Amino acid sequence: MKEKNSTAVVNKQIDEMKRYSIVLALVIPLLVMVLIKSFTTGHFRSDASKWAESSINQTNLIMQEQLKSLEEKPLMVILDEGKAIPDEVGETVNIPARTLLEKDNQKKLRAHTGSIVLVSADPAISAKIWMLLNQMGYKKLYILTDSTDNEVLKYKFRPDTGTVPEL
Amino acid sequence: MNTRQNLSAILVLLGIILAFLPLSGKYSLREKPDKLLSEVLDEKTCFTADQVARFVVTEDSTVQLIDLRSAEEFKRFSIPGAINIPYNELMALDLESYLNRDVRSIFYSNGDYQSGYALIIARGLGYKNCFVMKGGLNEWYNLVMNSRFSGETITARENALFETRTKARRMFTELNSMPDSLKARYRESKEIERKKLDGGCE
Repeated sequence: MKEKNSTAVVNKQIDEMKRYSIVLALVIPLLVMVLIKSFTTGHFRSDASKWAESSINQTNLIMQEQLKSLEEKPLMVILDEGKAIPDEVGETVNIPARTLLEKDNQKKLRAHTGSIVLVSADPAISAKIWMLLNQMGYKKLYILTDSTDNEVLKYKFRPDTGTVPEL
Repeated sequence: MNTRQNLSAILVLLGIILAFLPLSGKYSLREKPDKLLSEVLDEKTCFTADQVARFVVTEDSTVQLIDLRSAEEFKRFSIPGAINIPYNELMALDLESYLNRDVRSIFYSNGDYQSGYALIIARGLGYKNCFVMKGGLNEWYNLVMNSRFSGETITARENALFETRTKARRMFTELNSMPDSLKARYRESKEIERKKLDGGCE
């Protein structure tokens, strides 16, 4: 008798579930899509501002003499075509900026567990590449710089007190 | 538990899962990395100091200069017509009201780093009309403020360039030589103009 009752209850629940099948058919694919989008690698990390913090306090800039103080030997990434620097402080690879996201080059970067140091004669290129890789989730990423005053104005403004303002 | 309770439990559970998911926030770059890379490495995303000087002289309303230096530095001097969004506040602000317009937004700072970072952030967030002034204010000083002609003959092109630089230098010096109160009034009037162009109210 008891078994009969429990079977009836289960059947009743299955019937009711069938009534809600449309809701479930909508919710479950939606959940799967959200999960895929959330955990897909290869896109950018969430919270750009948190990742970009070191560019605000400029701790992402490193000078040649500071390279030796890094815990592990860094991977020096030369972003300018045809340029090379001696392997004094770490492993050196020449990856022109345009080809940086090609699969092989990404493998090289991902395979390196220590710091990555970007090297370019053009600070604008290093800056763009740094932010791009940073937002993709690369940690311990630096820009090699030859001076600490890249964002310092090298000239002084001299006001002309004789001018008449026109508003 | 009946089916309705079961479903409610499932939906609550889903809600909890969604709440803890690392969903793309407001300030997460959305553009595809390879597309973004080719865009920002394109020379078309850079304006020279001379091109910016021409925009300043002609008071080009299709261009908005964005000074990424600190508010203090901006208060001391800036390129005429520029607005200030300090780089450290860039991602805390609602960029929609600054960048999502038909005008071209040109970032500049003293050098190339901050404008380079800002370009990736802005274009990565989908603001396609963003550019940088190559070399920043250091290059502006080098080309425009310290421009001197020292030859005997001058071509028409050189003459036009020199005139633009001279006019831009004069405008820069006039604006930044004003007392702070007048400078503030000038910037307010520019802000009102910007809002008008943006279709907003004063």
